Amino acid sequence: MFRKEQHKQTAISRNAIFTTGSMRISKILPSLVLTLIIFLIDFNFNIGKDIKSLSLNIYSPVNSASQNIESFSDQLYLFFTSQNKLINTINEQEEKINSLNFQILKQSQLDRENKELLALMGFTKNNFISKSVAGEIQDKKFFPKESMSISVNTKKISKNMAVLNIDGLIGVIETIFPDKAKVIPIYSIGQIIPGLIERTSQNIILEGKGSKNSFLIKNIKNNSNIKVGDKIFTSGLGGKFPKGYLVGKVGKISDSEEKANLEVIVFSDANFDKGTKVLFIKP
Amino acid sequence: MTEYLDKKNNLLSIYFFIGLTLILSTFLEIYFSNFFKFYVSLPITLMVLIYWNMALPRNIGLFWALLAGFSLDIYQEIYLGSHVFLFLLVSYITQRYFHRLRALFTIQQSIFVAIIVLIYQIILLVFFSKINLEIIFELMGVTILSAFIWPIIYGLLRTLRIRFTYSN
Repeated sequence: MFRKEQHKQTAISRNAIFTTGSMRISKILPSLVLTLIIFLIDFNFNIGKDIKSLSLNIYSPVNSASQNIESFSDQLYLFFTSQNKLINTINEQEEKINSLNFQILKQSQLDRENKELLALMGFTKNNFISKSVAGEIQDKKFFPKESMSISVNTKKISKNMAVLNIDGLIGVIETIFPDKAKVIPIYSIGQIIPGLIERTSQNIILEGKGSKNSFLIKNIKNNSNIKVGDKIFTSGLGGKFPKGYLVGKVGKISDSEEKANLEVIVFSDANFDKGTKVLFIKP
Repeated sequence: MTEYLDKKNNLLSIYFFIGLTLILSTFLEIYFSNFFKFYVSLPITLMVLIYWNMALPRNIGLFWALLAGFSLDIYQEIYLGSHVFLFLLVSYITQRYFHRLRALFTIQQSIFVAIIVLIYQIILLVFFSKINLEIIFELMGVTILSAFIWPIIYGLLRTLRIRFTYSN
């Protein structure tokens, strides 16, 4: 029986090799012609555009299904690796925050410097200034031996120039080095500043006491018209300090009948160690 | 002479069953091409069409080949009739020589299918896409994959056909 079936199968196969189906080219010819016509119409007139857009709309659920599955697989992947990814993201964000903070600091520093420069530029518009040179603070020493090292073109400055910062008049040049200048406060011991009481226009002489932000008015008579709170400006006399810069306000007046002169203390609001830039000025 | 090869069944039902499998395979092909985003898609529809042309050449008709072909043309946004033309040619070749194809071993059938797939993809690429090195690699990959997938499609559709035929 097995041999008989095997024989039958072999016979079928042998016949099949030399047998062609009933399909003839004439059977598919109408379909081929129709397809060709549709192809040519679409090629020439692009009529398939509307059919395509309509059909793409019909197919859109299939497209979106595949996209949804893709997004689901992404979410699955994220779920299993979420901790890793989260840590990485946090680290990245922290780095970004640090970098941004640094940029903010830099920006605010630049902003401050710009404001400072603008303020200093405003000072140069004073009619009583004949020359001004900008400098950058390199180093500061604090009270009681206050001083600053200023990086400046030393060829353009001279020892009799005054120094301004954003607050106003703050110091004088003590020494000029080849590439920098040492500046000391205007209230240093022995500094003499010709001043003017704004209210009375009385000329006075201020002398540095060596105490922080305070001056003594020299040789002011007992009967002088002076009050606590009077503003003292530079008078421009002596040719060192230009006229019109606020030196300070009268802070304390000691009256003694035994003495012919008053003891008047002037306090300055200017901060010697403020800012990063200064302006050397000459009347 | 060869009528004994085709089982007698409910002609209308088997006709729609063939259509259903072709439409499903078209959806699958679209889905896979969306999912993998290759230049060359795995031609499942073509393989299903080859199977039905081999298995039930009298029942398949050309309507389903037209429908599946137009669907793929629309999806791939190429000129209407491009796939249809190829499907008709493949249907013609397969139906013309289905006796011989049926008599082949599965591995031989796989090689035949791979060759058909290669020619089909090359024609589509030459006329409707750009050829570059990446596409050639994909083309080779898809051709080899088709050869491996053919026995699965063949087995699956054969099982379904036998169950469907005998349940009727």
